[in-house]
Amino acid sequence: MSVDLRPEEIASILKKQIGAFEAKIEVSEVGTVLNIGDGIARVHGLAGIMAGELVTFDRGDVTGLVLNLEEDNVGIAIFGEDSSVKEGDTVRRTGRIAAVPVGDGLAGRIVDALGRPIDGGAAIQATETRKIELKAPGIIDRADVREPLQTGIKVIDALTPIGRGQRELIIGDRKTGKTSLAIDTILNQRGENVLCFYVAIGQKRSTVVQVCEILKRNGAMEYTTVIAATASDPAPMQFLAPYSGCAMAEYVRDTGRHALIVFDDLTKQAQAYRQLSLLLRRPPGREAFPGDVFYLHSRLLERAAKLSPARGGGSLTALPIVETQANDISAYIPTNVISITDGQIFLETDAFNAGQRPAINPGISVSRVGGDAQLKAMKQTAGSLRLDLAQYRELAGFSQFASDMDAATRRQLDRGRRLMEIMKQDVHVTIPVAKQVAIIFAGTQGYLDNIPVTKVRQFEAGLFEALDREPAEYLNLFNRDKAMTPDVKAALETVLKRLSVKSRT
Amino acid sequence: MKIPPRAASRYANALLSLARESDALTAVSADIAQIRAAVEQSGELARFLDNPMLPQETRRRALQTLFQSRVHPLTWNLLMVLASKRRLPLLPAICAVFQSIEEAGRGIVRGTMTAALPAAADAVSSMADQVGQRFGKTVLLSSRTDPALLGGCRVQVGDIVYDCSLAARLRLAKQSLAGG
Repeated sequence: MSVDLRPEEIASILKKQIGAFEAKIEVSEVGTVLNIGDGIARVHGLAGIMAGELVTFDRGDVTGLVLNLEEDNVGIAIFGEDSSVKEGDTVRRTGRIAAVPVGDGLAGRIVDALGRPIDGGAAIQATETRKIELKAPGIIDRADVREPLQTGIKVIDALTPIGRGQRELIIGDRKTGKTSLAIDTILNQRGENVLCFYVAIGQKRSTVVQVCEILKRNGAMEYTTVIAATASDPAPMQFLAPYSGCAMAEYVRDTGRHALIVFDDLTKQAQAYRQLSLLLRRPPGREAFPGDVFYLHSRLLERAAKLSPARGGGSLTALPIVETQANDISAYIPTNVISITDGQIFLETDAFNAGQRPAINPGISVSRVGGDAQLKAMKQTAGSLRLDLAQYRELAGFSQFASDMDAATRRQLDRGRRLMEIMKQDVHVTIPVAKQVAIIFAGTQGYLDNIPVTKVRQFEAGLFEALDREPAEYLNLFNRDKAMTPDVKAALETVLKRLSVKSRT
Repeated sequence: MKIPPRAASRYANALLSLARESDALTAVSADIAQIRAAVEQSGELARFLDNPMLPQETRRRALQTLFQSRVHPLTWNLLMVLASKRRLPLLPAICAVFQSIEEAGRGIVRGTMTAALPAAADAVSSMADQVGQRFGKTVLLSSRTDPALLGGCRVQVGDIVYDCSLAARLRLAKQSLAGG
């Protein structure tokens, strides 16, 4: 912003403000810092304070959040540098609950857990603010999930479809492509009227920069807000970031639009909360997490919802990410979040290293409500895919030992290998649903059986090209009907037959 | 700033209710005020109370010569109980808690008035009256000076601060200018 401000203009504004400034007595409720350290202050006084209220410290210009109310002191988590606060300092009540700016001014911005811009840009033009902790919509306010949220990733849209308003967990070890899945989903929302929110919790700053670069390069940043509480931010910020992001996304949901929020990742948030709780001397439980760590995540994810038409029909879809250690999904946080969400997508290191990317294990990945939201065409096509893949996995285990197999078994193995091949997809390349259906149709109907496994992806590329180039009959029909009507099927089969003849010669 | 230990308020409450029961509140409060003043004035007494190395007998005898003849039997009993339970270091805290709850029972609260320049005694008392009317209680203000306030004064009663100092006004003005 380079608006020229003339000095006399500044002077008149200041004059007005100073003139309007009343000499009123400041009445405030104060307390005194008893001790401070590790981002936690214990404060004596503040008798009327409420849990969750914001306080300000006179020195150092920092704010804090009241977490513990005890008989003779108050436990306060400090946002920012705690080294500037000293014992004996004055703490003031603000009478406010933590809130963040919301509205369309946030799109394309990078903000911290309190909604302050950290991208070096102008101040956020917010129409209103919202409390960070809000109760999830009630039962009457909701509708069931029935519109699809296309991720643009074949294996997800086919096997674990996600609906608008659903909570689908992405879970896996480190370096298995969890973040990439979420980013690809955001990229695929271009032109879909879904506002995206990416909450980075406890990540490296360099990683956040990378994500933002990818989003910018693919033109996704204009409808995305990044909420970053990085590893070097204080634990209270990392604890709060998902709630702030959720408050911003809820505004979109409550104004009758669609939002997608990615929490990357909730393991780090739980760890930040564990740190806070232990420093506040709350009793530790399993894995030293406090007793309310389940509620920490359940109240957050419960805010994802599809609203009823009476409430505007907006939706908030959540993609929480949880990192496991050595594929152990029976650890505390993974089991908690699995039981809260409406399904999960498992990523495995072995598959990833074997070149099966995205490294999704289709056997144990499920979507509990997304099936209702899946496009009819996809449902008709992918129905046999799940079964074929399951049979393939079972046989593949046995076939390692068997030297000769009967023809039926071999056929099933061959089919499975090709299906696994078409589940592969490059990173940051999303595929529209019409093309997804086309290639899965080709796989399940046997059009690939005569093509060598190594050539399957080449065939896929050829098919997509052909669908675009040739009289776009199939794409038009598909986008009209959204189902595998005889017309659509015939149009697709024509293309497939021509292609498979070509590839054989 | 130190929070009185919880034990101190237990002893103080016990003493207060005992004093009320035996109609000796005035005498006991006078004793407590006297002990508090004595501890504040004499560093030696404070060190004596804090010293854990003295044998039980010495401690008892010293207390006897200092207090037995001058205080109400109830107060004396408190001292003996504290001595035998090795709780004498708590005595100053017990006195402070006793006074504040005894005063609270009579509708008295204490506060401080801080001013940039030494305030006249009648200014302090009229301020105390005004603040007292707001609270519906009798307010006793102790006066302090702090040049950092620049001008005006600040009154703190309990956790509530009425700040009409120049420093606070400047801070508010700065906030309102920065906030646009």
